[in-house]
Amino acid sequence: MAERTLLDNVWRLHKIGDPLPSGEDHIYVTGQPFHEVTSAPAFEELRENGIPIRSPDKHAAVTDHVIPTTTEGRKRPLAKEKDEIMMAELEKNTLENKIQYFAPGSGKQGVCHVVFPEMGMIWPGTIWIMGDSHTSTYGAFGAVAFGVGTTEAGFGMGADSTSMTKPKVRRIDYVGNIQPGVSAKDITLYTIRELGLKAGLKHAHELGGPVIENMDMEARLTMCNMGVEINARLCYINPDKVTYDFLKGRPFAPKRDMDKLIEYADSIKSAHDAVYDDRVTIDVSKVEPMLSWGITPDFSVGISEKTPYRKSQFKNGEDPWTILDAYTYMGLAPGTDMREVPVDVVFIGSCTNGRLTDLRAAANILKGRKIAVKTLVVPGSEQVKYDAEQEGLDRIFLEAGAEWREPGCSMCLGMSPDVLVGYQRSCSTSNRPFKGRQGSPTGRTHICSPEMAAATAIDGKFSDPRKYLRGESQ
Amino acid sequence: MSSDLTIPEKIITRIERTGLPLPRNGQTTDDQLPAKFLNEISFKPMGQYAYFNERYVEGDLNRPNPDHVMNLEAYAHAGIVFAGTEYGTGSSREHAPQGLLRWNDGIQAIVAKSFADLFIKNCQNIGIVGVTAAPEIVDKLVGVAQKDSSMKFVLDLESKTISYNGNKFDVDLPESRRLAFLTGTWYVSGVLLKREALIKAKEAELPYLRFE
Repeated sequence: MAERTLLDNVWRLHKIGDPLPSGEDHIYVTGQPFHEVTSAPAFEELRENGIPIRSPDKHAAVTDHVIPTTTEGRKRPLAKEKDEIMMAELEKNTLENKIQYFAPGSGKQGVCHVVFPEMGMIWPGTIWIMGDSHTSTYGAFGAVAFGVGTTEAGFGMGADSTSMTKPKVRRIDYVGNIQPGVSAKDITLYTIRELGLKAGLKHAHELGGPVIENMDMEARLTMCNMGVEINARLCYINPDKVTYDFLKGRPFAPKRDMDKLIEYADSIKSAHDAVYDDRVTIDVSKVEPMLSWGITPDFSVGISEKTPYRKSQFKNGEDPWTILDAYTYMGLAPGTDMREVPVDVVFIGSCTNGRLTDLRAAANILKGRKIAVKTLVVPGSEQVKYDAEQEGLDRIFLEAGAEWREPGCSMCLGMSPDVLVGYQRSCSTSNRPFKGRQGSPTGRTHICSPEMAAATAIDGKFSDPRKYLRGESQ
Repeated sequence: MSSDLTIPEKIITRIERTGLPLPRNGQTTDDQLPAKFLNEISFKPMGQYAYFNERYVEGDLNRPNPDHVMNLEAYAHAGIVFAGTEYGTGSSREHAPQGLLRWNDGIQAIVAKSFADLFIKNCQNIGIVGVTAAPEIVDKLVGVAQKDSSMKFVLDLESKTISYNGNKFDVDLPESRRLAFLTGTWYVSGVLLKREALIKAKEAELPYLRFE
């Protein structure tokens, strides 16, 4: 049983009264961000049960999943009737309940998990729930944040609290030196492959060690975002100077009381003698640029490896049928060198890799080069778009032949007009290579870092970004 | 919410329905309910979208996959899913269990080798009973349901067993979840709302709520 970890500390502070009749804990929730997709049925349920929103000022909403990413496509009413209804429903629900809504064009719209962190809304030692599994992203600030179902999200807004059993805590220490061309995304894919898709079940993952301590906030957000893909309920990093420096001066960060927040944050960090239910160490020196080859993120390879062809290469009890299913669906053979596989579409963006540093990494590779396949670059938020344009990144992408879009979830999941068609194969910086994820029931998704996506866009086949790194062989 | 499926009988002790074998391991919520159908503002139509990509060839509503078990008349009234490992992994979407709950006569229970945490919690919140059983037992149940679509299975939460035709096997679920079904408190919203005084007291304790 874990003791004196950040999760234990925050859980203890937010626990309300005795456990619920179900045996779960009753946990105070600091606030709930939401988006257009999972919120509408939640509001419907609250309305039908006559339950009011308890503290409207604690929540905030964006539109990201269905909103088109072209200027033309964003004109109202939206082309697809259902999308328009969903957008209008979000506007209605936020207006009626006096919840702040970051509308398109306000300078604040974007992918929820990009927007709320960049607004400074997520503070260390707070608890957030949301009808979205990638809510774990907020753990990058030392917050406890986890996805919940729509029913829970709705009643969470009614009671500013939720019910949950405290998960076990596994500490993952990252050590070693990150190789050039390798980024947070590669490290997470490597972690999932090493520990197995099931490793996170019933666990919270605390990420730490020198590699994490040296990461900037955006890389930490990528780590915690992907942290849920190992089936962990939540993922977090203890707050430190990097966290505090990032928060300072942001619109929703404390103005007068920043020092008090830091004092509070320091008080809830995992103690040096914290006890964990499990500990794992990952040496990142061995990690090379990774990509997924199958239909789950654990089925991934380093770019210089061939796709697995021996049973012994599956270390975590993956069953033969799932492996066969993955190869069949992806239209690949065991033992494939992914650098020989052509792609149809490249997507750079999403709540995993749609932040400014991600766009910089891709632009660094694309600068002065031309792309060979259709490439969408979708900034994570209006703020990211603005900042990128200030730096001239948009020019680099456009000159390379890529499309520079408006913010949204875009091709990460097939809800906006940006979708795969038929058996198209994509190289995507998103988080899930699941069947049908990008809109076509037969579409094939490979996930990787922005660096690899950029290199792949140039080659038209999966490519090792290291060959395009500036200052090295070109 | 008079006759709506969202709030069925609050106390659940025993479920007697025919089986729906969906044995593949690692079925995701994207398999159960493809993302393209999340563009509804209500859960009410979700039943028709359950397992849509597998049930229809190339996503074409006019081309049902004749081999998919959910398209077979013999299984049209099934109420207990038999599934493999990590059932419901992936996205948090409650649409997935809502699709099962609202498919035909409604899925009331799932017996799997293992579940994704969030999926099983979502199931509990809407009154679908999820239990695990040893792999060989699940394989057996799958086999029986595949052979005889009219076989009735009885899932009994008091004895933590599933039985059919004189055979009885142990199933497992966390005690807290079992009690929640047996006492009707699985529907937690009501419970939370009744604790307003405690919630208020907690707000007075948390320092950061007053930071400016």
